[in-house]
Amino acid sequence: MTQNDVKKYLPLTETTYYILLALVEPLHGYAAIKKISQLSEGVVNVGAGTMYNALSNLLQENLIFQVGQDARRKMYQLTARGQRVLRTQVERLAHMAGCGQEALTRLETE
Amino acid sequence: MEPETKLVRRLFWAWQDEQEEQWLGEMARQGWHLCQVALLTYTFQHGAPRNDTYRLDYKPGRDMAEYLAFITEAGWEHIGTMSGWQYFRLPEDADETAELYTDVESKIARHKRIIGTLLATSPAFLVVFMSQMDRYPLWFAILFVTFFVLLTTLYSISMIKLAGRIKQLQRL
Repeated sequence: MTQNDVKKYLPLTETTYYILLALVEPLHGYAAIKKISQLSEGVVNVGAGTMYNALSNLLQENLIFQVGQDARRKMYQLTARGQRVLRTQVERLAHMAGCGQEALTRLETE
Repeated sequence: MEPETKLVRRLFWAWQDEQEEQWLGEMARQGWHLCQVALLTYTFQHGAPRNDTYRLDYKPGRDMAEYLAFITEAGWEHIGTMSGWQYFRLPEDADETAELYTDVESKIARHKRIIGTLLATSPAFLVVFMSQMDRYPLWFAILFVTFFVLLTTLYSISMIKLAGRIKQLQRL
């Protein structure tokens, strides 16, 4: 996979970013919603319709795959491709946060 | 004793889904809880007033069972279906997000599904009419054309309103 192939997904929306974060382990959709609420400390609450659509889009883009099924519920996890997208996004965010910190420090010293 | 029920006939256009949701919530606060939907017909059951949330999703067609199972697992009750629209209720005490769609992309996608159906069905009326044109008496043709113009206008209004909402979402 080329670098461009990853870049076309970036920047991820906040919702997509958290969904990819949640799916580093196999989870079904509702568990992912709960996990995202926890991870974001209640800031990002993904609606059930949004999650349903997002999962089917991510599946189609081969960023996640279906791991298995517990009872009636399908479980999903990141593909290698999904992992690469997530890693690149995290690097970008880390850089952005670094730049932001620098700017804030400058504002404070001025 | 059976709970009291009431049947209300009311028409909402494709762009009035939010008004419809508000109306159903208002009915519930007055103790009338939606229990069944059919074409232009709402059946309510009387009970204690509740501050439940009603949401409509436009979702015609495939994978319906899986989709409904997914949404109901997240705490929503599925009340019924009216021409592609799914009616959901979230009880007031549910510890869940009171929205089906929480980000711009999925809200836009939902509006686009509605527009898609409008676009797909609108030419159908004209085609059916044109193919049978020579068979009709004049008065009927005039009546039909009037009806068609009216319908086209409503379809256009629906699409323009929905496109407006998409634009507004994209500006955020």
